[in-house]
Amino acid sequence: MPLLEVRKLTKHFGGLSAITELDLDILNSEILGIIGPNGAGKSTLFNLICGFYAPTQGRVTFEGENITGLKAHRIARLGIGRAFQATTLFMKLSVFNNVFNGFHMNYKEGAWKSFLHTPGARREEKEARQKVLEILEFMGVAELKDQICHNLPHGHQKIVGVCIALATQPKLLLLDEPLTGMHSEETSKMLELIEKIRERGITIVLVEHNMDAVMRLCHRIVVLNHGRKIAEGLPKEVSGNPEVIEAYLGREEEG
Amino acid sequence: MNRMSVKKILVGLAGVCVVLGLLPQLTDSPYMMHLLVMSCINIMLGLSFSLLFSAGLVTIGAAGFWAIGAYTSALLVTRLDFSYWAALPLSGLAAAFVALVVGLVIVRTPGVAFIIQTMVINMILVQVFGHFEVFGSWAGILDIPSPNPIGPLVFTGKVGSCYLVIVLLLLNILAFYALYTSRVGRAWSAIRLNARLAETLGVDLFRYRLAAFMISSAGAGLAGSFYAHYFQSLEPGMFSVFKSIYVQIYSILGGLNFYIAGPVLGSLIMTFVPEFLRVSKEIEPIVTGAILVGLVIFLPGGILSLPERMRSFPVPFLRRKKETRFS
Amino acid sequence: MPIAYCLLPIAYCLLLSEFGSPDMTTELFAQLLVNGLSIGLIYVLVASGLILLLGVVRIFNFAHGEFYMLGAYITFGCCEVLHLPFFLSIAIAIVLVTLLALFCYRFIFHYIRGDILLCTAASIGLSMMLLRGALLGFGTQERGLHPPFKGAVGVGQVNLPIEKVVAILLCLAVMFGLYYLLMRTKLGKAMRAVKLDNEVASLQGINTNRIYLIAFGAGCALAALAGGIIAPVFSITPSMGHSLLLNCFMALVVGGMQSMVGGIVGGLVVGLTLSFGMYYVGGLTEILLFAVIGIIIVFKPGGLFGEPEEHE
Repeated sequence: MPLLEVRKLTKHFGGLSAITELDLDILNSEILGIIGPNGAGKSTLFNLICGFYAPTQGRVTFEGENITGLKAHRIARLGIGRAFQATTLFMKLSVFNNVFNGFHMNYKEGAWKSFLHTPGARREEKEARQKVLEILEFMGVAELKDQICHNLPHGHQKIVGVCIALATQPKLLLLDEPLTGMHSEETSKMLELIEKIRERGITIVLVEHNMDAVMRLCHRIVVLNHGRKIAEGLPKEVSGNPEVIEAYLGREEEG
Repeated sequence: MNRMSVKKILVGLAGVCVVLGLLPQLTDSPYMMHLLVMSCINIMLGLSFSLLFSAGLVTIGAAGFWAIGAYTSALLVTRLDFSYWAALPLSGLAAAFVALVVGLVIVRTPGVAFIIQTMVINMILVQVFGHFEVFGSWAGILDIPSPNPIGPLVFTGKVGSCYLVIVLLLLNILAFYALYTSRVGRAWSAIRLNARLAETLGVDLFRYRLAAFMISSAGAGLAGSFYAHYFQSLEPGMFSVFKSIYVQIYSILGGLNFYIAGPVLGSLIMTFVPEFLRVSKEIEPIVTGAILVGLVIFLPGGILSLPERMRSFPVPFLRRKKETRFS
Repeated sequence: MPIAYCLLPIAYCLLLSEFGSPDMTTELFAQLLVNGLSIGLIYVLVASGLILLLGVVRIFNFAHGEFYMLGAYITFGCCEVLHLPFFLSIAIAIVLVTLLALFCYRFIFHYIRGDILLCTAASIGLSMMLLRGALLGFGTQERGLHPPFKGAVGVGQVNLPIEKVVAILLCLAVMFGLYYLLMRTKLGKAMRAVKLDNEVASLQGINTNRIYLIAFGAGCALAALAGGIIAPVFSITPSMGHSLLLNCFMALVVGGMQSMVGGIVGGLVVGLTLSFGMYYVGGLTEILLFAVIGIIIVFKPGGLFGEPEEHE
């Protein structure tokens, strides 16, 4: 059974249809790449899966449960995590505190107990702090832990964004353009890290423009254009697909 | 929190208690003690404003919930013969309850809409208190008794009230501090800094905002209950939007980013300094207004942000305008 | 389409009068209607200014009412003291107040654009200064501008006070002008672009700083204009701006903060409720207004034309 199923997903904004009748399956433990020219609807798709938008039509099912139209925080609690395209972080906080916030929903003791600072709650928070350090080390940014995020270079900010998402202990991780703005060294590093994350059992979906990276990293690729899926399959199959080539080249001629 | 820091906090707290305990003894003047009491009340109101601010919501309606607490307490004691000590928590609950009812509607639209709506709520409450006989109409409620004595402790005089308000204030600070250092406070911070991101971390924006609204209002309500029995008479005019605005100034003056120290500093300054400056009543609003504008432009982080400022800029008032997104 | 929305308030006050006393005559209804419309349209003008400031410049201006008040006083001064013609007085008032507004923008709002709390605080400070300054400068007594037009207008069998009718007509003219400006002119389109997305607008070559300045000036000019128009109709006091602003906020709450149409409907609803309410329930008018607003908010928290849910 696929981890995430999308059926006939449609999203209208006023008169504009951002996504039309999209069907998609995301399989367990895979790395799925979603590509397409600008405006194809990739970010919209993520927003729909995460719960920031409610679909105009269609269904989204996660682990067999219908999550269509649920609010974002509920969906997050079900195990879908997201790292954003723009560097969406708690800019004024340190890296450590950013990732620490990521553990918010994974405490067993209630918020009330946290307020009372019971020994149980304190112990859990201590454990969480340990786990934050583990995540930072796993992603190779442990030495940055006390830096304030808005002082960090773009590449590091992106990594911190992924760390925060990891702290939510997701089953499915949505990475929105993780490689944008990175130079080749940082890109290789990030690709390694993404593979490492997958080895931990987390399913990954990426939206990316860096074709090279996508071909190397992803097990399967889905291509969107004008809000519709125009191709799906293994990287080799997709890169040879004439419709896909036209979608990209066609765009270049227009622009 | 490890052993060492818990110890430090307890010692610090004990020290503060001792200092505050001695404060009322420092002066014989009932007027100074009155100012002390008023500044404590103002601090509590400022704390309530800052709590809501910490969750990203701005209110200009604090005085309304202050009023609810005051009236509830006054009515329970004068009309229904409750003991003050029963009325006190009930006032807080009443304020929280109204906040719940109102919040269910208005918390859905944070931002400018929320600000205006809190202002409207404040105005509505003043009108309601002024209009109905139950609340004493525009003349208000008079002859409210002081809190009942507990054993040998009497609260009728200035000294007794001083101690009582200081205890209430300390409890308030303690409770809010516990909140800020817990998961709740972190969630509020997250909402304030980046609500979208907070949502992906499983934070239910609506619930947390509503909780902040209720707790903030309860705090103001408790302060109101004390106020009613200290001042011993109430009238709707005391709780106008004007007062709510002053409450905002306390926090801004002290420092918005300092949820506890900010209101403390701001209220102390705003309560004591005008007395010493002896500005003529006539031009007082002009001076206050000018200070407020000056603060916002030159020192938006409040007084407590000065040390930080001094470090980064040699000239404190050089600011670049920023292109910020409206949220 | 917007015109259809304007019929809503008319239907609304018909509804109000149904609940009212049985001896509603056409004469009375017309009087109340004209009264309500004149107040309501003034709220619309001032609220439109606020919406412009909020949407384009992203500033919340608590001192807006004071600009309105100053507009009224300057018009009064020019008319009564300098004996200038009415329309010229209004023009002078607009110019002077706009200059003051631009001064305030350059030295105050320019730095805090976008930050709601700081704007609220700074504009409250400004409002305090202007209000007290006016109180000290103009005195507390009520002033009345002698109406430049005498007599009454007859419509059918009904006699309507001419100042109010003129006020209504002037307000409508200004609103059409505003509509034309925003929808048809290049400047208006630039303002709408900035409202939608200031980053994209600047990438398209629009000088956003200039637009902010113009929009701020325009918004405050609207307030001053409203003040001038209303000067012959109601009494002029230093605190008139303050009480008007509160009612304008209610109009914004009803109509929604972001849309002009919302401002129109909101202003008219508030004005008409106050007018009819004053007749029917007297002292409870404010409470009636609050009740109406309360009901609307429960169903549409963002206002009738506002954003439905929060929109981060």
